[in-house]
Amino acid sequence: MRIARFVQLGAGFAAAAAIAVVATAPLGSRAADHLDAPNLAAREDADINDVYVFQASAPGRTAIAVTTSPAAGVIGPIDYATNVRYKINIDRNGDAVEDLAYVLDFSAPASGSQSYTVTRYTGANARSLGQGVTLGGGQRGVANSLKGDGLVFAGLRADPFFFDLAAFKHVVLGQANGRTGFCDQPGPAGIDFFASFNTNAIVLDLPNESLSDSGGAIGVWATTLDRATGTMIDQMGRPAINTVFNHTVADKEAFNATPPSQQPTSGNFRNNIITTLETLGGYSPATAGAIADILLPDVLSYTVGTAAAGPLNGRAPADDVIDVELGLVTQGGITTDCVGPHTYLSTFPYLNVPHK
Amino acid sequence: MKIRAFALCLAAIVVASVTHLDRTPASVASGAPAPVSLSAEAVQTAASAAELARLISVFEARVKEHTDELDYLFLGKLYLQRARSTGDVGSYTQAEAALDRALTLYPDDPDARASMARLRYATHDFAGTEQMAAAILAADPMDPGARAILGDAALELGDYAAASDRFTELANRFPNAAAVDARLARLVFLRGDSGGARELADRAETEARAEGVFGVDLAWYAHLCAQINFDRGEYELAAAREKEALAIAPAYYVAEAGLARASAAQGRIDDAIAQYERAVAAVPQPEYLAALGDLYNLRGDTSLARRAYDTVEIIANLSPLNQRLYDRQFALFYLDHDRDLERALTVAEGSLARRPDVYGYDIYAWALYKAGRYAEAAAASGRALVMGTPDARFHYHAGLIALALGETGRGKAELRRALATGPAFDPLLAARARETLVVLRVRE
Repeated sequence: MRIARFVQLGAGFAAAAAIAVVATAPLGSRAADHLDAPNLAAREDADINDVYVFQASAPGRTAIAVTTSPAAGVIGPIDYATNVRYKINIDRNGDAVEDLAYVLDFSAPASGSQSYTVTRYTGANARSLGQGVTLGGGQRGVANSLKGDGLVFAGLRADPFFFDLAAFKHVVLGQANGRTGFCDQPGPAGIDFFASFNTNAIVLDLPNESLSDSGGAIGVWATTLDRATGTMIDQMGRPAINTVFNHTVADKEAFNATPPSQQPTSGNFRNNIITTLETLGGYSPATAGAIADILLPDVLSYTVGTAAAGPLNGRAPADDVIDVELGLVTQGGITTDCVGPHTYLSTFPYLNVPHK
Repeated sequence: MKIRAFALCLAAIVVASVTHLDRTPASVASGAPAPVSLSAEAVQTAASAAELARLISVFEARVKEHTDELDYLFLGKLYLQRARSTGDVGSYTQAEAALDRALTLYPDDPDARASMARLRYATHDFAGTEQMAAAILAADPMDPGARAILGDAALELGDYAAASDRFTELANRFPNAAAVDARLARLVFLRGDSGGARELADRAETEARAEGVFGVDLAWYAHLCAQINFDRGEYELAAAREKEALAIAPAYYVAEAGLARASAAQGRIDDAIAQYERAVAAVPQPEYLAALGDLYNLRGDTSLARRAYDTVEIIANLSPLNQRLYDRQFALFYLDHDRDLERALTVAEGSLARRPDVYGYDIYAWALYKAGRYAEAAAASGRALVMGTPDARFHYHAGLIALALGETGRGKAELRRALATGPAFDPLLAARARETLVVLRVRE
């Protein structure tokens, strides 16, 4: 869950469970210098940053993108994990339970690259990941074709996300960090913390028929699963939901571990949304409840074949979801963080080449 | 294929830098040549190093363009990571400046405090570490990072009970976590169980791989295993583990020096010299230079030895930070080479006062011994050995101290124990231990 990683408390890069580390000399050396045990790893290679679903460049096609490994190369690795399954979940019948899934499995890195396969699961198999159809795959970093007229890319890209995180921490989380608000800079722009990071991106480009019959509504979210046990490591639907609405570490972790279909009724999640909307947006309880019912389950709802308008109809890389969410949460009180999109590619794989 | 080209380009850079480190003509020994092809992990490590450098430039530019606490904080973390992976002490100074700015802008930031705590710990300011951790815990008593670093600081300060409490608590909260098991490995070693330490360290490395740890951070775990192997006298295993660390991070100077130490213990002097030379070219640590000098002497290169020893002296006087970071290394160098013993005693005393752990007591004991203060030396040595830490050097020192006090039986036992623990624990001192035992036998 992207923003949470940068926002949560911690000693090193990896947030929540980070444990302090430093590096000099070894244990038991003649000078008996001290230990430098590294941070508690937060499985950054299984950490999902963002999920996108939007119209592809060719007519009748849809793109889905999932970015993982924040600040790839520094916080997370560039290599994909081999003991993790990267799963794109799609709900086609509106019950927030996946009935279609695309799963990427990666082999051990070799010769500076990595190969992977893409498997498609439908129906009950989308949950169990029992029987699937291998669509193809290839090497990291290049476009590969898939059976069923699909395209896939997995590899390093410039991080598409844009956001004034520091201003957010002040305005929404109340941190006295020296910022005075969104758009508080001398010029018109805010400060985009994510301007220069790279990240790993899985991008699918598929015919609409693969995803739904005749322009249907789908829900999309991504999960990473431990290969051996099948347990979920991370989960992501819409941007920033966890960060904005769940305020305790316990709630954030619980949210990440709760499948979307259970989110509306378990834990404090619905109440947290309502409370936040009442406090930050002055909404009435009834309206806040209605909005909560849209935001949960936390999946990217999208009508296939339409132009994306994130975060409430899919999400295209250039969509300023933060502005929309700020406006929604504050009921128009704050409508922008004064940070705009990066540059993207107009064709597959849509996300730009890595920063150098 | 853009990324492949990028990775291979970096691979070439890493290979070039490793071969560049072979300065002397004598380093043609089998351990010397740079790898022709890099492991997949080394490719990742090289890419990470390049990305770290790029992001440092990016964030240095950002803090000039605008003022934002988050940028200073992230820059501080980047500098800390650079210090960690390259051994560049200057990066600590840069990290401190960046984190200071962050804390000026946002004094209560738990994240900035946590990074500052790490910096204090890395630069051996353990009181400062505890202060920062306490500030975090005042706001959030259960913050795991702060509680962990308190355990780390406690360990360095010789408060092993507190360290044990913190690490046990961590293990309960985060079972089977590499970073926790690595800490437990250290603790159980200090408490006398080197076999248990080895198991924990092995486990930690396996866990680290499964957690997706990469780069120098992953190499560190292999190196930790190697260190425990070395202390157990398992020199071939130690060498193999250091090579594994270097396969992950070819420029990891700590593993290079560790490999040198293991090579020397196996009697492969030329290899050891080549490896120490590479380590020293990356980071001129006093411990490596002193070892290099000893090995040059063993090989008969007395002028190279003298130059190495002189360099130790130069570094000793270079900066207050250097002096603080390497105080024990300097003290040991002086003591083991019978140089400036008064200064060594002062340094050892100061180091013990700041850090009353078993290693501090051992070096102080040795300094007292060299000063002829045998009774005090025995007391300090006793405190070093109080938990039965299986360190050959502790026993070697205890043995000579006992002999100086006329306790021949105890002296012999300790020397034997030293050699049983680490038959080649030091290129010069293991031999001296053997010679001493021979002399004692002859006298009987």
